[in-house]
Amino acid sequence: MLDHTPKECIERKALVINPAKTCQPLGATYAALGIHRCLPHSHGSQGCQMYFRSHLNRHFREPVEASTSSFTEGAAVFGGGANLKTSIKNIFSIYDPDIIAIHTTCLSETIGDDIPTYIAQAEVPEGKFVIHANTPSYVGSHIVGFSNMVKGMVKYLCNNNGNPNRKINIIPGFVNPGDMREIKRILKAMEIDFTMFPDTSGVLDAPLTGDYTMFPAGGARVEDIVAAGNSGATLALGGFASGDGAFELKKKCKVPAKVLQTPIGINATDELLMAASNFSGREIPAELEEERGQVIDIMADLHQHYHGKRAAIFGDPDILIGLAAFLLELGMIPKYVLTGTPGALFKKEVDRMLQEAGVDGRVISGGDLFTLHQLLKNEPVDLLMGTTYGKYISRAEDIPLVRVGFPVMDRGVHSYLPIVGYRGAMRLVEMISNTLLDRVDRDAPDENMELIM
Amino acid sequence: MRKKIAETPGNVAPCAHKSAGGQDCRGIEPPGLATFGCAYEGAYFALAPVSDAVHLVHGPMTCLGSTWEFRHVGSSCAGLDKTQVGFTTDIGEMELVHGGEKKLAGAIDYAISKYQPQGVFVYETCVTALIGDDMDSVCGAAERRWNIPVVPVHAPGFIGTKNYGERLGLEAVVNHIVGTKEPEFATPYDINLIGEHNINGEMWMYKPILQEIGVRILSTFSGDGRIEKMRQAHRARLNVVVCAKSSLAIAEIMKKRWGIPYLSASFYGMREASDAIRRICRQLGDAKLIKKAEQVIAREEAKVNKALEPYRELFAGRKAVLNTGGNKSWAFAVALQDIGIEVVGVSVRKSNEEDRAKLRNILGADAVLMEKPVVEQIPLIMRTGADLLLAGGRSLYSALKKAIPFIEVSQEKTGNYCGYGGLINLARDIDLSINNPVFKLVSGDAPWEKKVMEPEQCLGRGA
Repeated sequence: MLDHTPKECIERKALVINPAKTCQPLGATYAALGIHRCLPHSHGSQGCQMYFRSHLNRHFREPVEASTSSFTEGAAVFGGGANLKTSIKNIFSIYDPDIIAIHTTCLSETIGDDIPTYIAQAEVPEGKFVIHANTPSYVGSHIVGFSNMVKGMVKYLCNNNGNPNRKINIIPGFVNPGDMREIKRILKAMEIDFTMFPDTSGVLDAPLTGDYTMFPAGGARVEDIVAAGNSGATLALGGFASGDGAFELKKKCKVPAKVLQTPIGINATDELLMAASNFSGREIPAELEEERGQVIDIMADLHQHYHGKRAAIFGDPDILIGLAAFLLELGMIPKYVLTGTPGALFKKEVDRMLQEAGVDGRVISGGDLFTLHQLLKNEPVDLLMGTTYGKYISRAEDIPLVRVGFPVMDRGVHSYLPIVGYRGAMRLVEMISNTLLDRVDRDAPDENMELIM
Repeated sequence: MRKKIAETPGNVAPCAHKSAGGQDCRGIEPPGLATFGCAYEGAYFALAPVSDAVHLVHGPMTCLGSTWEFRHVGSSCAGLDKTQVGFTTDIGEMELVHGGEKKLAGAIDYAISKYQPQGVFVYETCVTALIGDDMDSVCGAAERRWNIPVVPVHAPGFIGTKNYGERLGLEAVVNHIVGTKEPEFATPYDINLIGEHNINGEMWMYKPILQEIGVRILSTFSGDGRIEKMRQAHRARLNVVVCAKSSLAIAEIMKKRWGIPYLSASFYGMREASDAIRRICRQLGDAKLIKKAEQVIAREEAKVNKALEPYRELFAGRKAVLNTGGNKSWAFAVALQDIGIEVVGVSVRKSNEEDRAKLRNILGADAVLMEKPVVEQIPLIMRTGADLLLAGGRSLYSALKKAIPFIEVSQEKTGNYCGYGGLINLARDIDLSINNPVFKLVSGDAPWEKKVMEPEQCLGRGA
């Protein structure tokens, strides 16, 4: 295992060990899968797209279809225009999607391929769409790539036709289809008319019917994304993954934008409900009020099992901000909060949260898991929360792990069940308290083994 | 650009990868199709099992992020196993403008000083090849500074497929490492295993058997590999190329350079494993060895046959379609036949003429050889009524959507199907897969989907 990670922390500038992020094109691919009948296309070497597919289909345990420009040395030297135009032609004739969402890679960005010009020169059948986003792999992370692709959707598709309506646009952020379903359920319960994009529910959590289709029933409809330019407001859930898309929509179509935290925990979910209620004029239904009361009841029932416990959390910025906030609501201590996504804003935001709560925690952006491991060796915690990659640290340091975020490739079902909304909060409390109590049972000497806890 | 990208280092050996379309193993798919791996991935996977070396990826983080730990390779290097640590220079915009050589040198220095490896492999990627970082001189300087091998591996993604990258990776080892140290002693029974990555410990299924017979494994490329052993590999009496056509190239180089003969062998399936052992012993040419081999083979085969008895009964009349690469295709076909399953179709996308001929011979005239398995495999299963698909991870979930039982046989698989013991594992996993009750529960067959309701069934509805 990782037993040989040294305890002594030395600043590293040149080397990343055990990365805690992946690259922009993966996020762009995930966002593109949230459009109905869309084929994500990677403009670069053929390997790249296979890796994104691997990551995504291991996390969701679903087929993931995507294509590539298959660069050769020739394309790398002379430009990828011919490859892209051939790709577009091949894709429409072989796979027949309604829309192709192209993202760039480090290779095509470095040689400076001009995608809009290539698209303009390509043969696009009547009624079909081709959109693109620039997603250089050497900048940012998959969260930035997700954000850029959402921006691409707005730039290419959204249109204000002068007939505004009271619909609300929801940009859900880089969350699981189960989370997207939960957000939709909440909005439906409030009887709000909305458009969610991207929306991977029904795409990456499609049922087993005995039939395989390349383009499952789910995903945001292109015409709905186009019409999103007429909506009354946009709610962007998670500033890092969704903020830019909402602001782009405001710029292009004058749709008012509000950026909210990813609705993890009580306060953040309250805020989503209030914002949705304010924009739509709808009241909060009794059903949701009851759910809220249930979560608080659960938290009251179980608080003694997690109160004061220290946690290390790592993953993507929006999820971490939500989780950190919820851990504080639970009375837990987010001792370490580490994201691989670079950017000072994240650190500032979480530092502020911790300071307000009077918690002495360490926040790192653009970090790697090696750093997290070293920190834990120096000052351990009671609970680790993060992706599958945390399992090595969990084992080396004997700290229990709650799997949350992307990617989770060694457990199932997580992508179907939410961590957002009041229901998501219930699930998180269950996961956290069960994991901690399992540890208590495991470690208890015979004489202290309790039946009722 | 300081360096010609098209340069292919050490490109001396013939390629055994000619497919029907006349593509060699650098064959890249036409633009716009679904995707396969890249050369970088092949090189990284070929060498990553060397557990006393640091594997440093010089590129943006994702090249490593997509390959690091995606495949589980067994290592007996307890406590110092570097295969589980991912190292990358994580190239950013600054390096694109100013070059990444300084960062690379710093990364090598840090990794060597903190991890004390026996060697370092530095992997080139698309973007670092394109900006023209002079990896050779950075690695050369580090090698002189630290006095351990620091091997540049030039297999950026765009130059070809995974197979081609695997070959380039192994070539880099042969050119930089092999022959740099003499073994303490040599025996007439020394062999190297080439192209065996010890995925999920597959090599360990047959290595003890070879050792029991008296064969000494001098070096492995690169399952549970060690730099130290690789340096001595040139003194082997025989190279055994295990299940990877891309490795034939380096066997050929080693034959030319050090006169080591080679043979191809597979340890999947009982008949193949026995055949491999026999051929290795015959090639080493010692009567005592051959006699001992026969004893061990008889014992192992008896053990397997006994264990397989109940399964063969269970699998009678069952059919499978197989989609895997290279010579694994016939190896697995034989393994399936060994446990009593009929193979009705096999992918030959990555197979050469020799593989195809061999498959025809093994499977008979009726089996379908699939040129485009991604498109062909599901219709073939439907047509033949096959009970099972064995394929790689990216076919897994589309097959399951059609409620087709599935066994994963790619490099990311969790099963260990190699050697005599592996065959029993395969039989057990197939049993668990095809006989799981879930496949009777396809949701399209829900009770309310039954076409016509009988009148008495409607009673409860106020009819």
